[in-house]
Amino acid sequence: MLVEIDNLRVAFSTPSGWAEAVRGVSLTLGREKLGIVGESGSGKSLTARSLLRLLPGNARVQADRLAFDGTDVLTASEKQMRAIRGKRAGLILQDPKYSLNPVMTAGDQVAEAWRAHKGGSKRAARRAAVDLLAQVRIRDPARVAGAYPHELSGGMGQRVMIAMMLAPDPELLIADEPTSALDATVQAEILRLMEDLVSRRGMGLLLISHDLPLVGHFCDRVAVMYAGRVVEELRAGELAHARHPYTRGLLDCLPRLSHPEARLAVMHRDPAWLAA
Amino acid sequence: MIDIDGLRVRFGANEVVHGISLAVPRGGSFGLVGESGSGKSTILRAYSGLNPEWTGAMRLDGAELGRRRDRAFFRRVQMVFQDPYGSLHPRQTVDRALNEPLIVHGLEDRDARIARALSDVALPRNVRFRYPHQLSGGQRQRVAIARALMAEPDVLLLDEPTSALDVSVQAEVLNLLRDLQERRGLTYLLVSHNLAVVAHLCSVIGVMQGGDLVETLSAADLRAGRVRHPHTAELRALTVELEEDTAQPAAAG
Amino acid sequence: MYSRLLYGGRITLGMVVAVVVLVAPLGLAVGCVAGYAGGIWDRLLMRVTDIFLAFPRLILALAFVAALRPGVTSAVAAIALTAWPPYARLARAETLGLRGTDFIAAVRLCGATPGRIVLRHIAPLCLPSLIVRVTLDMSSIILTAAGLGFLGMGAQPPSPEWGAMIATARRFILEQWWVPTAPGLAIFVASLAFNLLGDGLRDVLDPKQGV
Repeated sequence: MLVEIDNLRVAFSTPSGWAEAVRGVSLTLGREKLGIVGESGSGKSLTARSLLRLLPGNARVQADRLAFDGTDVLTASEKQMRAIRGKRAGLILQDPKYSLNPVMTAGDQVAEAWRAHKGGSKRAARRAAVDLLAQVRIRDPARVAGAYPHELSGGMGQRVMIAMMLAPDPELLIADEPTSALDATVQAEILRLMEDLVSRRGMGLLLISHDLPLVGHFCDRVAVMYAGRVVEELRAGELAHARHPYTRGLLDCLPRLSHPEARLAVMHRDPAWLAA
Repeated sequence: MIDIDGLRVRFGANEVVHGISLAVPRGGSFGLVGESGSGKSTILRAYSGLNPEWTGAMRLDGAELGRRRDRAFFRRVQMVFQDPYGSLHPRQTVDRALNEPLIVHGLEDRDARIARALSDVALPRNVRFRYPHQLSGGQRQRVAIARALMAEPDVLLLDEPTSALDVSVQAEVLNLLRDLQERRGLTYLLVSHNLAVVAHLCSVIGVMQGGDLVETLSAADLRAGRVRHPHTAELRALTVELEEDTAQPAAAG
Repeated sequence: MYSRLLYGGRITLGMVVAVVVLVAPLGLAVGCVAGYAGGIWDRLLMRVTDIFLAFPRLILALAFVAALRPGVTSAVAAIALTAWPPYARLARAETLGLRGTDFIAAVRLCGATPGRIVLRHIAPLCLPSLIVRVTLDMSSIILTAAGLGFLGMGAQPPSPEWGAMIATARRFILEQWWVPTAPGLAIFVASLAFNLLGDGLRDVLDPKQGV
C-alpha cells in the first residue's frame, strides 16, 4: 500500500477549544487513482495535506496510522518528510498562477526541480526540463521553457506545474482541485494527461475535487466526504448506484443538459449524517 | 427589453468583443456561454455601464444607451457578480448594503423593504445585522441578489452567479433565481461557463468563442443536440460525457 | 525642571496632535480623489505630492518658518505642510486596489455618485492603514518639532518645549549633563510609546482579524 490512513483526526485550536475538521477518516491507496470529493469545508484538502504534513501550525493531527509507503508520517523526522515531499509525492494545487514563481522561466523552474532531486549539470537539467515539458504534451516545449508564467495560459501553467512535480519521478501525485480554475475543454485535457501519466508510470493519484461527476469519470475509486468523514466509498463505475443520501443529493442537485427539470432537487442535510 | 447591436469592446489596442448582436424580450432570459477570455463577461460589464470603452448600439426597452448611465438606468438594470466574497463590502453589515440602493434612489419605507427583500431571498431576519464574513457563501450570494432587487429593477445581469458556490448551494440559488423571475417578471442576461446551468435558467443561449457570438440557439435545440457550430458541439459533448456516468433515474429522496 | 518637562510635554504633544489633525484628512482626501478619479486628476495631484516629497522635511519646514515668524503655530503649519504627502500616497495606493473590486462596482451600479462612493465606501477602508501610519509617524513628527525648537524656529524660550529645552541647556552639557538629558529622554520615550501604539493598532485594525 502506498498510502494508509486509519482514523485520521485533524483539529484546529480556536479560542473556544479544539474544532475538529477531519473526524476519523480511513483510506488506503495503492498504485491507482483515488478521488476524494466533498463540498467546501468537508476536510478533503486537509486529509491530503496531513499526509505530507503540510498543515498550519495551529492544527493537531492524530491518527491510528498515517503512513506513506511504510513511513509513519506522524513520527517521521523533518528530514524524512523532506524526502517525501516533492520527491516521492508531488502536490499540484488549484491555480498555477500562485504556485509558479513569477520571476523564473518555466524551463528554469522545471530544471531546478529536476536538479534538486537528481543533481547533475545545469545543461543536463535544462535538457531534462524540455523533455518533461514534452511529456506533459506541450507542443513547443523549447519555447515554453523560455517563457515566464504570466506569458502562459492557465492550462499551460498547470502542465508546467505537473512537469515540475514529475521531475523527481514521484510515486504519488496529490492533485488538489487541479482543474477548477480552468475551462472545461482544458480541464478534460489536463485530467486525461494526468490519468495517462499515472497509469504509464505506475504512480498513485489522489485527486481532490468538489466535482463528483468529473472525479467519477477519471478515477478508479471515489471517497465522498461530508463534514470531516468519509460517508461513502464507491468504485467509480458505480456512481449511479450511490446509496448514501448525501452522495445521491450531490448528484441530484446538478442541473442536467440531458434531463431538463423545472426545479432542481435541494439537499436536505440530515443531522444523522454527522454521526454516521 | 435588451437590445445589443454590433457591440465591440476594446481594452487598449486589443479588441475583445468583435461586434455581437443579441436581443432579449421582456421577461425572457438569455444565456451566454463560453470559455474564459471569450468576452462574455465583458458584454455584461459594457451593458451595465461599468466599462465605457465600447462602440455599437445598446438599447434598454427601446431607449438608446449612452456612454454614461443615469440614475434611472441603475434603477432598472442591476447586476449580480460571480464572487459573493468580493461583491460585498467587507466592513458593512447586510443592512447597510441593502440600504445603499434605497438611499441613492431616495426610496421611502426602507425598513419594510429590507425585511421583505430578505424574506424574498429566503434569508432569516437575523442576518440583517451581520457582516459578510459571518455568512456562508450561499447566504452572501443571496444578499447580493437581494441588494440587486432592492430598487425593483426590470433587468438582472447575472455574471456567473453560482460558479463560486458548492453544487448543493448552486441548486438553491438557481431555484431562487427562477422563482424570482416568475414572481417579478424579470428579464435575465446570464453569463456562465456551465452549459447545464445556462440551459436550466435560459430559453435562448448564445455561444461565445474568442470574442464572437458563434451560435445562438434555443435551450431545447441544445439539449437535443441540434447544434451547428463545432465549438458548441465540443462544449456540449464535454458536458454530456460527464453526465452519462451518473445518468440513472434519480432515486426519490 | 520636572514641571518644565511636563509642561513641555503639553506643547510638544499638542503640536503633534495639531499636525496629525491637519495632515491625515488632507492626505486621505487627496489620495482617495486621485486614486478614484484617475486620469488627469491623478497625475496632477500626484505631481504636487511628488514636489512636496522631493524636499527634505526639516529643510522645507525651516524655510517655511523662516519666511513666517518663528512660533508654535508656524511650526505646526510647516510640519503639516511637509508631512501630508506620504498619506496621500498611501491612500491612493489603497484606493487603486479597491477601485476595481466587485463591491465598489456594485455600489456604482446602485447609481451612487463618485463623491458618495469615495466618502462612504472607499475612505473608511483606507482609514485603518492610515491610522497605523499616523501613529508610527508621530515619533518623527515629535523629532521634527523638537528639531525646529532646538534650532529656535519652533516654540520660543522661555516656553518649555522639549527641543528648545535641549537647546538652552546645551551650554552646560558637560557640567550638568542631566539637564539636557531629561528632555531628550522625554522625546525618546514619547517616540517609542507612539511606535508601540502603532504596532498595537496594526494588530487590532488588521482586516484579517475581522470586525
